[in-house]
Amino acid sequence: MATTLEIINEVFSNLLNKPDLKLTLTDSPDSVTGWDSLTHPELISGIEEKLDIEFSFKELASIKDIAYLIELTNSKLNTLK
Amino acid sequence: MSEDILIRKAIKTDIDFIVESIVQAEKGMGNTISYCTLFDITEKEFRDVAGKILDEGISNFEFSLDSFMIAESGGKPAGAYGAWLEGADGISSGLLKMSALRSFLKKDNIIHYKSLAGIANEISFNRQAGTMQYESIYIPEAFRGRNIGSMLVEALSNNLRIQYPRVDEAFVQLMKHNTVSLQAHVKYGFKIVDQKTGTNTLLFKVYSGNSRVLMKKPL
Repeated sequence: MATTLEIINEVFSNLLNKPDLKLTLTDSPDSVTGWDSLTHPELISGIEEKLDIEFSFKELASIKDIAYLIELTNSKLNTLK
Repeated sequence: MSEDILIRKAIKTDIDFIVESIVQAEKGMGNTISYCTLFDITEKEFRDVAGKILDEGISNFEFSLDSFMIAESGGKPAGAYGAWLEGADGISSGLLKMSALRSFLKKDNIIHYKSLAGIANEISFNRQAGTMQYESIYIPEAFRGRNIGSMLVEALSNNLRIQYPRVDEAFVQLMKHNTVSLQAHVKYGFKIVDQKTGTNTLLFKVYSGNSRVLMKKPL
């Protein structure tokens, strides 16, 4: 079963058209080329659609790096269980 | 003539006036709200969405309630201006703005924005993390000529200086054709440090102009 990091990596890789992308916990819009204000809505929607979850604006406002995004995604998935 | 003017931080009951301020600042000397053209929404839809985002209470971007100072005269709002520290919580204002708009607009509106973003970027300036960013000044006509703009700029600077003593630069981005605001900002101590002029004629539809200036002021 894929980890949350692997799922997020797949979404980012597909939408940013970077087949070799290997995200790490400390990656952020500052370190990932293409992750910017223009692509951010698509990346978030991609994760939401892939995992059938939905983020609120307040939740999105805390995402400063991949670690936060994983934490938020996992908390959403846990509430579904 | 400023003895009856009170400058204070914005509170939730100011949201309607702040939305009006954002709309009027966007229109500048034209009649275009770039959010409406970029996201294909009406002015009413924009006002609704802006109000909802302000009500969320998220800091450090264009739609942050706590970034606004209000000027008040006789119990009535006489002006508003917003300013925040870019990237204060490790997230850019651009990312926060797009997160907010995607949360309150439809997917089609975001797709429409994406189709025009390249044009908008022709005249956009990156906001540098760690700098103060001013945005959306509005002083209703009845209160102009009473030094309210200077008072708001000073109050915002003082407020941020207390929170972030190391910050020493403030920026504002203005459409060049908005000569009234541009001249006012020169009076407030800002100087033009950069200018971008786009070539795409659609810029006139999106912004009522094709040149934007970046102004800087030491704190």
